[in-house]
Amino acid sequence: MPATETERRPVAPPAGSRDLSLYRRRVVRILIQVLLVVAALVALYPLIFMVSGSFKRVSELTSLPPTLIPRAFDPGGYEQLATTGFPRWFVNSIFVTVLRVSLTILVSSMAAFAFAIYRFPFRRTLFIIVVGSLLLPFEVLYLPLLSLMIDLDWMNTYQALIVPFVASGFSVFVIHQYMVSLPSELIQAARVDGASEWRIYWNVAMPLARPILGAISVILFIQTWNSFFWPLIVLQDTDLFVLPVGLTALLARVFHEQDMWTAVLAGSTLMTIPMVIVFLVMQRQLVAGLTEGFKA
Amino acid sequence: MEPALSVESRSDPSRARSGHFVRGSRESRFAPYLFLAPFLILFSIFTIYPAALGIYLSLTKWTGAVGQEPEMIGLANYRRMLKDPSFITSLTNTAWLAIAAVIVIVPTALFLAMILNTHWIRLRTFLRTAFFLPIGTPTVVIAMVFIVIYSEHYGALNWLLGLFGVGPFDFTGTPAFVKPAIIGLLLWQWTSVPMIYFLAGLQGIPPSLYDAALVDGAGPWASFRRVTIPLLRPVSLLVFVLLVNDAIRIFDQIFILLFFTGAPYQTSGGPGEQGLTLVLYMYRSAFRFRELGFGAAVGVSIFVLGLGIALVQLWRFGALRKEGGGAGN
Repeated sequence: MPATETERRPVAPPAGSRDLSLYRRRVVRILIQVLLVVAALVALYPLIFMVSGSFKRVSELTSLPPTLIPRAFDPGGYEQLATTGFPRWFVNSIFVTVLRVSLTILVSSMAAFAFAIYRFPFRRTLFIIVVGSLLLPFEVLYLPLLSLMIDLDWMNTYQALIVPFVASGFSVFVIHQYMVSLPSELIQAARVDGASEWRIYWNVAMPLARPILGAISVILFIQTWNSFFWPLIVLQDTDLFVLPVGLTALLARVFHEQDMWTAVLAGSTLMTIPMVIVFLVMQRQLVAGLTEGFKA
Repeated sequence: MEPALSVESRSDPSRARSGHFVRGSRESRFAPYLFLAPFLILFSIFTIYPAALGIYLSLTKWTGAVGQEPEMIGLANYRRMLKDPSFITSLTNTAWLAIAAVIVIVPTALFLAMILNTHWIRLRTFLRTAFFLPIGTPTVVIAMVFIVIYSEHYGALNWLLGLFGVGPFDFTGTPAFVKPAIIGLLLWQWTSVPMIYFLAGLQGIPPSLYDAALVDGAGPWASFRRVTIPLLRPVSLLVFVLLVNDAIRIFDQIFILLFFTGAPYQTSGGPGEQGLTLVLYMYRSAFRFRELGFGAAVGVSIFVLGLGIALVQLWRFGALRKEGGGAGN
């Protein structure tokens, strides 16, 4: 009965069946409400389990029935985590993510601005190439990029995690769609006032594009924070690991030492926190951005 | 200096105001290129060049060892790939996952979106947040947590099934369960974004259409089929495109989820290669067997496949969007 919403009061059903159908509708609604709350709890369960598991002893973690709240709070997982490279990986991840997101936003918004505001030769051709790159799965580029990294001697460096991703066709496309809708009077007015082109970009277009820049930043943040395959193949030095790769290295140790499970869950919890915070704070903008991209 | 002067002379304000707003000063003539330069340089080096290089490498024997230069071997990699049963397995597995993901996730996302869009649902903020949160959870983390949940000996899922006297099962270690286990994880992780799109799509349907349907005597089911479904068509196609694209490129979740299963060193694709997808196959060829040239050939194949599907989708999407848009207005 998913479409109950469509039944609206003003149009009355036949009088005789009215009480019965109202009653039935109420029962259905309660059932759906209960179903949805259960579904929400199921959706939350892995996260609750992760946080609670990170405070359990391994003996409790690996016994049944699974407890929702640890019987004894044991920060052992976190202590063990501190003895691994995790703190370093955390800093690495933050460093790489912040740099990559801000550089991508800067470079892509400049390009988007150029495409949106100016008419110049080859504009259409260039734009089609950029949009066409959206069809190119990045996975396909990994091996040739790897070869490029070897040639540039960039293996095992931070720039290998940042620079190749800064020219993001996706970001250019979405920011462009937003910037073309900016009122051209504003830009003309700024130009008449003698503003340089850079000032028009930085002081007029960028502030106006803030909502879409926010949304793109969240999407890029999530992508970068999650990025796994590429760091996995370009990083060998454990000191340079970012969180997904580092956490996987810890997971590999579980094979021989079950004790590592709580450390892995502790690391998972800590890795999730920044992403959940960014997500919750920016939720509105992210949703707006996703749907904006769709309208475009 | 001569040309510069002539450009300058064109930049009188009256012209800038009345005419086309960009053919202005000398500055604005060079400006677009300056704004584009960083992007175009990086884009050429790290997207265009690797794309071409990938095609070249796919025609070579290349181990990635220091000092070993790629050696041209023509189409040998492609021939070998098409004869490799594991490649065929990875292809069918990927197709299976893409189709199953669509079948499982689209109705779930639509159902949740429709309920969240009703006026009578309680705890809306809590429900929304709970269903959105998977977007804010790192992929690697989700997969690790699911290893524990799926565990044969202490996993919550087996404990739950045990209450009904079923199991326990080794979900990630038994060939028949590997794909359903992956789909379970994807259902958890991938439902949120389609749900957001469906919510936006539903909010775009004018309520008057439902009222009209009601006046015409349409029940909930009829108005769902006649109003909701047709008007959600553009959104559904978008969701479909996104899901299929994600499924073709899937790697991280499966790599972690099947970390401890199958042949040693985590890249076998699980028991019976049931979790071997195209990208996992590429990874395995390149890094377990050290055949990077062969891996590049797999990469090119993924690209061709992805492009083919994307073009079909774009064609259908483009065709249907006009129709949907017309109905919406």
